[in-house]
Amino acid sequence: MEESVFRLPVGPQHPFLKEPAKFDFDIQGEEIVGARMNFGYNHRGIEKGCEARNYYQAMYLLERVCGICSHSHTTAFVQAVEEIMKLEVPKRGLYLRMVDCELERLHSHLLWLGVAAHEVGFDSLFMLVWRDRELVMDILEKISGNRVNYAINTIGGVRRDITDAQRKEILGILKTLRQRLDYYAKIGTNEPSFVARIQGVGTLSAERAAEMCAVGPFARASNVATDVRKNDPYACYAEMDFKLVTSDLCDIMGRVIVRVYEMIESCNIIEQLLDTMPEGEIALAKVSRRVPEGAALSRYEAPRGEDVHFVRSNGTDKPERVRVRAPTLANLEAATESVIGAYVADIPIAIASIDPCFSCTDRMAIVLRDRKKGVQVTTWEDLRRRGIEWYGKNKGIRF
Amino acid sequence: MLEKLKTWARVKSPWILHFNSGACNGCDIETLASLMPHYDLERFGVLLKATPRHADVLVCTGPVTRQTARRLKRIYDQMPEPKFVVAVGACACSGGAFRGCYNVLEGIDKVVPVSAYIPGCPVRPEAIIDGVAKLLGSLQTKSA
Amino acid sequence: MTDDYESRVREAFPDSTVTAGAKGRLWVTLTPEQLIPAVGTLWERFSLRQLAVIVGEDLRDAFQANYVFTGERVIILQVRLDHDKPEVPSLAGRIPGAAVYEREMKDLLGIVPVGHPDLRRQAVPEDWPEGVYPLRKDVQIPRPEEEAAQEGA
Repeated sequence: MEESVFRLPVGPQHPFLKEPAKFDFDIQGEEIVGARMNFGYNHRGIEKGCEARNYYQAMYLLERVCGICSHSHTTAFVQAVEEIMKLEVPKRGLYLRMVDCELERLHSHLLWLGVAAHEVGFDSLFMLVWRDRELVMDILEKISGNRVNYAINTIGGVRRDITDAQRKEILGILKTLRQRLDYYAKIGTNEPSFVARIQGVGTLSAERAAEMCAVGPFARASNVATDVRKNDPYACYAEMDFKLVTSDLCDIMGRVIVRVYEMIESCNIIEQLLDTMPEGEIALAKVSRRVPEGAALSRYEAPRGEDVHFVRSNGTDKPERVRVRAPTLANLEAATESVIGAYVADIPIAIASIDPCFSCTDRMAIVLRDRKKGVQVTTWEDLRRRGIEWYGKNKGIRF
Repeated sequence: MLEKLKTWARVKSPWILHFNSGACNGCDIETLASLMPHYDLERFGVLLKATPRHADVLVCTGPVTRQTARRLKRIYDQMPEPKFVVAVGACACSGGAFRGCYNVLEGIDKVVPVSAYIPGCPVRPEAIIDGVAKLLGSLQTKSA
Repeated sequence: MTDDYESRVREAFPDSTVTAGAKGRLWVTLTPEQLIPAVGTLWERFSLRQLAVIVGEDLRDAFQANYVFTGERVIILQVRLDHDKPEVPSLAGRIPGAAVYEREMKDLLGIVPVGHPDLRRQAVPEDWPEGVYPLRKDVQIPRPEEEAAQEGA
């Protein structure tokens, strides 16, 4: 087949209003009556890029799909490849992978909690949480060499082992973290100003969450018991003792509670892993560069929810097709809908409650259409400030 | 005389605008972390601003997707002189992991002039502080 | 119990090839006409409605759409499509969560979900040229540098 080459338009000047609006809301006064979203601007060509790279290079690229859940993507990918190649990863390797999985969940949820606090103007909580997050970043750096993008996976296992000294150190840090988490659980449910901003806001019913096929803490906060670690366990999760945390609140407070208690469960899992870590190899000694023809579907419970990777191989050292369905995509439309009925001032915290890639929100334009007052294009940051001011003035909520 | 005063004001407390041109967020989180109490870039008087019109330094991450290229240029044009651009991360410097992907321009210097390149994937907060300190230092030297 | 589930699936899809894969995943081949009834069967007989993703593929001599349903087990419906006119019936009316994946398949591969209630651009920017499907095997999109070089020449 002849190759078709296409030129894409790249213009240096582009009127602001023609930029794809990421969120488009219909409003009546201060209330949101309709919502739509659009994410075409973020297209980077990663799936196509994987086809031009060998499996190890593809893993390197996939790690950078998102800097917050990088380990999720490499693990999901490597699981698919290992399935096609029928490789049995040594148990110690799987345990080490899981330690990183749960550490990533911890740092990601802490990051989210800080950002959520920031969205409502609760900056002191933001700073506190991010300070505690550094405890987890320190552990990650000690055991992998990097704070982000740990590059810990290889096909057939992991690349770095942990020493007994590191093991003990991690257990010590987790003890401190648990105390902080108990404190955050209290704030999330008791601090009046914070609760006032998150209770009854951004509601999504359990039925709607299921119809929209929502995943992760966002779905679990609407009482949907979906967690890949329980429903379709990978690595050695079937052997671990932990709870599937749900909430029937169906609102943003539910999402806070689910994430905080999930962090406590993550501490439980890490402790079990470290206490019962088997001896042995951490990776298979020899793995072929070429992957036999086949296809596999890999599911992974990333901090934001189910991450699905589909890999088709063609007998060479490069994949034929790689499909990455990150959890945020599964939740976006449901999240957009959950905002209907809320105030314009609630938009930032309601959208943030699904834990989207936080920087994506930086780059977007938000369109507010009021039938009486016309169309207004604003930025996330402006909307955030307006929301904080509005609640301060109209509801007396100040931090 | 006015020049020296302006430089002094800028060097003492540069106000920065952060822009993500299609990054994975790794560098963005680390940039934010460097402003948090643990690393505390704010002790240099560095403040994060929301609009280009108040910013001295544009801190940019990401390999620059075609769509964000237009916005990046516009934001740069809106900043008042004198202005500086810092490329944070391997992607912003040269495309990083996304080199060869068809929808990226591979580096922000393809769109705007860059004053400082801070490599890393992602950049460590210490490296960001080091880079910003070096930039401030070079400004001070220029004004002397 | 594993075998029981698999035999129930085979029984429910007598005209399809059902392959058991790793982790108990069941891969079921279908024609486009069989898709909607199959989705109904999954719901009525297996209580499966959670659609994790739809993966479109360019197999060079055909297209394929893979529908991944997750629940007690994972069942993947594979629908093979004509390479010259890849069309599938849209599921968005029955399963609202399918809408985003069908749009993405349309934007990136040109597989058309017939009957989709809202086919706006989603995976590519609004001004992306019509008819350019980046994930097709025969499509090469030049990097911006190459483009600039070509224009200069």
